[in-house]
Amino acid sequence: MRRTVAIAALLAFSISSPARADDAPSVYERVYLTLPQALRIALPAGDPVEPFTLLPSAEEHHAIERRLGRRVPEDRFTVHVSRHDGRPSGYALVMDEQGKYYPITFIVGLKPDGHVREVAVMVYRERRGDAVQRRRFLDQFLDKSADDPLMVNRDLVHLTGATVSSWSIAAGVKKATVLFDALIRSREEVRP
Amino acid sequence: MTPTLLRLHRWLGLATGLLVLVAALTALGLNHRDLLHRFTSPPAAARDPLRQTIRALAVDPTRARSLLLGTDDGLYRSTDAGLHWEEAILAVPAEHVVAIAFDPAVPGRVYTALEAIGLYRSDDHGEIWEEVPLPFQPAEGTHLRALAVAGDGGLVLSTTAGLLRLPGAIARATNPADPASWLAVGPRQAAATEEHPGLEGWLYALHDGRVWGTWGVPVTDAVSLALVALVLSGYALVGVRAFRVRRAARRSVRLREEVAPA
Repeated sequence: MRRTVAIAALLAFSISSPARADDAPSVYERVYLTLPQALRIALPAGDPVEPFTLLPSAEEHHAIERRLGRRVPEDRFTVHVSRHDGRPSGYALVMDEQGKYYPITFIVGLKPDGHVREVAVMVYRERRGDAVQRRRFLDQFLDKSADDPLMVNRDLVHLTGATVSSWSIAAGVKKATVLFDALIRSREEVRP
Repeated sequence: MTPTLLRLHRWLGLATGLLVLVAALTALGLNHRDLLHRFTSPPAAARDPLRQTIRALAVDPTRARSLLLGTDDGLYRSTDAGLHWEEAILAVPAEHVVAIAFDPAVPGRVYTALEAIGLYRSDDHGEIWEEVPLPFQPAEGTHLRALAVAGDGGLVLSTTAGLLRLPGAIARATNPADPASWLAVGPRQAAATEEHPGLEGWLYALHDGRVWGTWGVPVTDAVSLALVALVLSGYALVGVRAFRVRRAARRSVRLREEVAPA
């Protein structure tokens, strides 16, 4: 009898307890990867990596915005390129995309042909929704390119409980692939 | 127990097992909607906007052949009076479009309200969109219902928590308005939010385990899987028992037939 009462009390407490008290939008920064760690994941192992800056012209900038269907506030982009025998073996872009309340920082690794090689979450700043760092979600991006929709409920499936973060990562990967397509592929030679 | 009661008990057990099976599988489905989407999302070819449930339609006041159409599945643009449609790309999935409204005095400026996502604005007839910050997070439970643009460019937004108004002078500014610029019209209604999900939300949360917090989901999954295993093994045991009883009956009939001539 006493045990039954105790179980009933525990159940009642669990239902009435503020299970969502941690919803308050306070910053809860969690660093999963530093930049050197992220670059090691996003680019082929062993190849030397160097950063360079892309400065799109006004026309290029507008074309990128039209392809993405949204404003792109940045006017310059830092890209890390790895080289093998002098030829690019991969590109990596660190993206900051607005999550539900705070930005999510993640890296997008691209193959020399612009297809996604790797996506990895570097910094997540909210208590809930960090499930987007799971491979089950991120593996959906592999081998996609700027020609793919890269949209949730089109060619991607969002994670339950991390819907807004799923949109943010999808939007960031799309942006990285479009930047490659519009700025890197079109340039015959990429030099730091 | 009489044989009739035993038979009734067995059938009730089978029916209850079915109910438990449905409850456990729907709980798993609710917890893993993302996996369900893999099987339920319509193919791209099936996304003809005119075959979908149209929720909003607007004509560009400065370009008579330009239309914007909103459905449950997306936002679509036509530049030839509706003969051909292309999907408008936003940074978020443009789902459940509840309103599209052009600013009558600013050429090219158009707003679209996405029920559970937010309000978006374009200044180039619907090509590039940017979010208009709202004083609430639609993803938290307060949803958008309708939108109207006044002659002075002001916005009136109907939400599940009441009416909001953004004065024309602020709405017409180049940058999207500060969320604090929205003014409540009349009393604010209590909308279902994650903190106060309402009875329906609470029942859902109880069913999928979220009422217990984040750890409720894996616990519910485990309990659901255990229930599914129990019911299926129960059915299997009943089936095996019935098979054995029938086999024994057949054997005894055969024996009786063999013994009878002798």
